[in-house]
Parts: sequence; structure tokens; C-alpha cells
Amino acid sequence: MQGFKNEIPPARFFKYIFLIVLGLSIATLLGIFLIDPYKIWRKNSIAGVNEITLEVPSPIQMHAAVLNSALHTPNILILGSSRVRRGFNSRYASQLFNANVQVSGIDLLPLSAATELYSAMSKHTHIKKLYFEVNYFTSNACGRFFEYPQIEDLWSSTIVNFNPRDAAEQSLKTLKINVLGPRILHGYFDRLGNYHEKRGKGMEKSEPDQSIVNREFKYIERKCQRQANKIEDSKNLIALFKATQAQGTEVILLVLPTSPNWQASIRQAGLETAIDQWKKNISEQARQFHFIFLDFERDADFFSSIYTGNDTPKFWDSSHFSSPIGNFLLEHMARSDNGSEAHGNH
Amino acid sequence: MSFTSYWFVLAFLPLSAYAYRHLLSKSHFNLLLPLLISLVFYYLNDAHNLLLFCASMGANWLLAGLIGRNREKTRYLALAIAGNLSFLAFYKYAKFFVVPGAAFPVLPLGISYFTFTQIAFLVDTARGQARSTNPLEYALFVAWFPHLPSGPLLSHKDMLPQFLAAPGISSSLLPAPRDYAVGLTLFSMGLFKKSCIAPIFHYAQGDVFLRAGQGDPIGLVETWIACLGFLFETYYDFCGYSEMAMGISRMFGIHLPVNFHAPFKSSSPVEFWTRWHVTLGAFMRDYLYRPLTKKRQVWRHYAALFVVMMAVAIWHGATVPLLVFGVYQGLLVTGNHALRRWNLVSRKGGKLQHWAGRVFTLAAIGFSVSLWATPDWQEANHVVRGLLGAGHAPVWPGGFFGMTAILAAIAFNWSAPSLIDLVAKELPAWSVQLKKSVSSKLAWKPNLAWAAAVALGLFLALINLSAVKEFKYAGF
Repeated sequence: MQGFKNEIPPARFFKYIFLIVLGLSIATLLGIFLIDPYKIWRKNSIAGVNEITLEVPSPIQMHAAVLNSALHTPNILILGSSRVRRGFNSRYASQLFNANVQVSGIDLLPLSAATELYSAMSKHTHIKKLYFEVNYFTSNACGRFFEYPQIEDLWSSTIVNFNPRDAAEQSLKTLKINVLGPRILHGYFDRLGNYHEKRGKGMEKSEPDQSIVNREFKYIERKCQRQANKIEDSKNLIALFKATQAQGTEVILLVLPTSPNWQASIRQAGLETAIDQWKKNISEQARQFHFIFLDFERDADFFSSIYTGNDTPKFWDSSHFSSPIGNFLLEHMARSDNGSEAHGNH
Repeated sequence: MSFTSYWFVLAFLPLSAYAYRHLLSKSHFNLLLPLLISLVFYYLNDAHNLLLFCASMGANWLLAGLIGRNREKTRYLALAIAGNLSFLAFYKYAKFFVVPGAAFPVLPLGISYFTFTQIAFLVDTARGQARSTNPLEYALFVAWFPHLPSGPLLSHKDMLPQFLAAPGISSSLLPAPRDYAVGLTLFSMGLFKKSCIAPIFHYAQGDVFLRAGQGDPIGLVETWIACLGFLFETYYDFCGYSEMAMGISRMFGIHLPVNFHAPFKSSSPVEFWTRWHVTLGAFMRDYLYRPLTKKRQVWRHYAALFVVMMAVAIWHGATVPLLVFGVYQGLLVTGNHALRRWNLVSRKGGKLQHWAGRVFTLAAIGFSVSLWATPDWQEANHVVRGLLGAGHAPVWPGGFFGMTAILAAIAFNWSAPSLIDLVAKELPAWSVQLKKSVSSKLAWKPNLAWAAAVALGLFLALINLSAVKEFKYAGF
């Protein structure tokens, strides 16, 4: 202890500081590297360390998606919003399609960002098929929900904007959930890659409350201002189709299912006709480019036969479907991929 | 390139310190080298205004020469001060005069700090208290880069003797190994305060000010937490910056004055303002308060205090809440002086008076945050109501985190020695001019314990750096 307090020559003082900072930095970087908190470079998980993973935070989602595609060179890309991320399991998709499938869900991804994101992701790999989620509410018909990074500068901005604090925090959270189990009220992906949300006792299988759904709906509706058929939607889709055609990528547009409460809200707001018209327009555009349009937005009866287990509801909230539904959809998509007639193919 | 950027911490600072150490031995680089480093720093931060900055230095050096040589000193001095203040006011308050929608000029880096520093030099030249300098010495004194972003305000009496300590001996500026050790300690701890501690208090404020701005209800406890959170955030931000500036300068062998000296240990508002932003207080005392109180009349003394507090408030911004802030602080300090004058409180006082004073000072300054942190009178009024429990919300919707953070900050600031106290022995006497430093067993010395503390602080700061906001006082 005395040695701890004894005065030392300044040169040794600097040496200790340098070594401690270096040691701590290396340990932190090693921890981040092992845990891979944004699920970018890891192929195999480490038991008790990162088998269970957390959702990638919004600001880093695009960076993570691009880096992931550069490192793992997928053949099939399923791209969309958080519904894609939470609903689809990339491991199961890879088995079904017998290919390297990447599932990337960016929170409220607008159509305007699609082409740039696709171009960035296909820079280092040849994507044969692109399943792209389209949604009336997060298309350009709606006001911007987030500021998205400039995709063109994504590589340089990833390095410049790399935030060691957030990466270290996310690593610690991932480690904690793996060691202590999923006790937090956040969503997480289990060992098999299926998304879960910890819910209150007795609420495990319940549908989200209609009043909450109505509130969410009103907020999104206000943002969207009921402006379907916007010219931008059409422009962005054509740009995406041209970019994909140039790369030899086949596009399949997906409309994903929503909860019965959400559909009730749509009916209540009298938006059914506008949404149908919007779907018709984009399916027509897809047809002109010889691309496919898959509409899975169906009545609740369509999914009634699916068994989701004891703790898992069909929908976590108004719009996020659970992985049993996601698996069911993937099976449909895979069957369609193999040439069979998919349900809802226009 | 802020002090809190990776570019500065990992590239500019080590490279410039290295170049300084190795090139300074060549005599012709003496003074020219630190000036060059300072101008490069200015260019990297605000290239657009570098010429303007140089023009300001050149004009003021010429004016100082004119004032020094001429018999009509007062007329030239008045012109010089008016010119400098107009220059400052043009940039600081341009937004109030330009047509809505038109672009207003970008504030040059450190405009307040280099303008005040030069005004002080001009006044002292007229008083015959400043030595004549050559352009190189003068430019280095004004442009010395660690003080440019947010001060401290420099006095030629402290700075010029350091540059001229041993004329002709090129190594007079060369830092000793111990200077690097002290400099690194101050820099790392300042960076830690800015990047790790200040954000805690930003977070602790929650959305109280936002809700107040929208006219939504705010509760008593949460409003107090938000106001004290703002106060501690500002303290750790500005004090952190000031310690970083001292540390950087020390690594180049040059001492800067202390700008914050444990302000929360103050047991009166008067004491608080002698510990908070010390160099601004000293500037106001020497160049505004003293000239106004040449005739020893009590009312002049009180009026001068009011003028000083109003000047400080206007410097912060020309908004109605800030003008009221000036009046409020004027009332606090004049009231404090009046109580002393009438012997209702003694300067030394007992323990009870001391602790009651600390609580009162913290509460009074915390209350003034309602005027300091709000952009318009409507919001300020709403926050004041919240502080008085009339914010139309239950008394107790205060976050546990915010409450814990504020209580911990109060306990720590009241009981633990400040960093300046701990390194006081390593600083020149003029640098810690205000308060006696407390001797502590924890006093700084180059040992393993301090190396570990500095390394941990530096490591945590480096981890946090990319999420750090700009310094609060950078735009002044």
C-alpha cells in the first residue's frame, strides 16, 4: 500500500497511465469483439456470452446491415422495417431457402432510402433475390420519423461515428441478459434467433389493448396525412427496380400482416380504400418490371391455424407479428421461390 | 476540432506537444512555435474567421502602442474600448438586428475571451501598468490556444512574464517532466468531468424545461431537480473545460489561472461568485467595479455591484429572463454585502451560519437557473412557478435517478476536496489567488494511486468522447 502512495519518477508515472489506459482499451475492444453487440461479424455464438442477443439500436441499424452484408455476402436479402427484423428468423430462412439469407429490419424504413441501402448492401455481394417490405404507413406518404444517415457515406460515417460507449453498453447488456437471463422488459432474440418480448404475468398471450392501438394509429395517421399514390413512392420504387435489374436481382415486394386491432383501426378511419389503391399501384409497377408482389395482410382467420406456443402471442403489438407467424410466411415465400403458387400472389 | 474530439485528444495535442518539445530548443522558434500552434488550432476550428482574429490582435497592438505613447490616452482608450465592444456586440447580438430570414455572421471562436483579454491590456496600458511588448509576444499572449474556446480570461500580468521569463534563453518555456504529469492529470480529470459527469446531470433534468416551454404541468420536486441538474451540468461542463485548458497549457510549460474553485463550498452568494468563473469575476472587479467605486460611497458600491451583475447577465445573452437574472443576482450580492455591513452576518461566522449559508447559496443560485436556462419569459415564469410548487402538478413526480444524482453531487461537492485543492501545491501562487487551498492526504503527487486514477478517468472519458456535446460556453 505504501508503494501505491510513494512518489515515483514522472517517466514511470506516464508509463503506468499509458499501460493502464492501453490495457483497459484492449480489454474493452476484445469484449466488444467477442460479444459483437450489433450482430455484424459473428457467425457462431458463444454459450453464455452472446447466444441471446438484443435488438440493434436505431442509429446503428443501417450501418450494421451494410457491414453485415459486406462480411457475410448473402444471396437473399429480406429488407424492411422492424417487423421484418422481429418477425423473420434468418437462420430458419437460410434453411428453407437453402441459401445465405440476411434479414435486415431498419426502424420505419421509408421507400426513399431503399435504393441507396440496397446499392450499399449489394456492393460486396451479388444478391439474387430481394424481398422488400412495403407498407402504406412507412412509405413516403408519411412524414419522416427519423433522420437516416447518408448511405453514400455509410462506410466512412461508420468509422467516424463509431461510438465506443454505446458499443460497450450494448455489449454489457448482452452479456447481462446471457448471464442472468431475460429479466428486462425489452425485446430479445433467443438462442434460435426468434424474437421475444418479456410481458407481464397473465398478459403472455393477450392482444394489445385497442385504446393503445388507436392512439398509435392516430399518431401514425397524422404523420401520413392520408396521402397515398404519392409520386415519390412511384419514383422510389422505379429507382429500386432499375437498380436491382442492373445487378440481376429479382425483387419480391412484401406486404406483411398486421394485428386485427390495427385492421379495425384502419376500417374505423375509412382508410381501407386508400390502402387498397396504394397496393394496386405498386403491384402494377412491380408487374411492369416482371417482379412479384406478395400481400400477406389478411384477416385474422388466415393465421388462426398457426400454433404459437404457450407464451407467445400472434402479435406482440399492433403491427409486430411473432416468429411463428414469421416462419409461416417464410415457408410461403420459400414455396413461392421454388416455383409453387404462393398465396396472395397478384 | 473541440478539446473533446478524438482528433484533438489523440492527434493534435500529442503531436503539437511533441513538436513543441523538440523544436523549441532552436532559439528562433522561441515564441514563434507556440504562436504557430495556436494559429493552426484556430484555423482548424474556425478557418473562416482567422484573418478577423489576426486583424483584431493587430489593431489592438497598434492601439496599445498609441495609448502608451500618446498624452491623450483617455480619448484613445475610450475609442479602443468602444471599438472592441462594438465588434463583440456586432457578432453576439447580430441576430437581434438582422432582417428575419437573413443569415447572420458566425461567432468567431473565442470572441468574448480574446476581446476582454485585449480590453484589459489596453486599460492597463493607459494606467501605465502594462509593459510594452513586441507583436510576437502580444500575439502569443492573446492567441494562446488553450484559452481560446472558452477562456479563462487571461491577464497580461500573469501571462507575459511567463513568455519573457528569461529573454534569450530558448528553454525558458520548455516544460519539465513534472509539468507534463500535472498537465496530464488536469487534462484527464477535466475531460472526465466533461464527458462522464456533466451528461449525468443533463439526463437528470428530464424533460422539465421542455414541458415548461409547452406550458405543461411541472411538479415541485422535479423542477428543483431539473434546475439543480442544470447548475451541476454547467459546472462540470465549464469547470471540466477550464481544467482541461489549464492541463493543456501546462503541458507546454505555461500556467493558466484557476477558473473554478469549489464554488459549491461557498457559504454566501458573494463567495459563490468569487469561486465560479473566477477570471471573469476578476476582470469585472478590476475593469468595471473598481473604476465605478473610486469614490468610497456606499450607494456607489451597491450600484456598481448591480452594474457588474447586469453586465455578466447581458454577456450571457440579451433575453428578458437573463436581464431579470442580472437584477436577481444584483439583489443577492448587494443584500449579502448589506447584511455584512450591518453585522447581521459575520464574515467568519460559526458552523451553523456556515452550513445555513451553504444551503441558502445553493438554493438561491439553483432558483436563478429558472432565469438562466430559459429562452423566454413565459418559460421562465412557468419554471419559477414550478419551483414554488405552483406548476399545476403533484409535488412529487421526481425521478429517483435525478434525485440520487443531485444528492450525491451536493454531498460530494460539500465534503470532498476539489481537484484544484489537490493540485494546489503544483500551481503558482497567483494562479490560485482566491481561496486558501485545503491540505489533504490525497494531495496530488506522481504516484501509482494517482496514475491509476488519471488512467481510469482518461479511459472512461475516451470511451464516452464520441457522445459528448460541445462545451456550453463555446459559443460566447
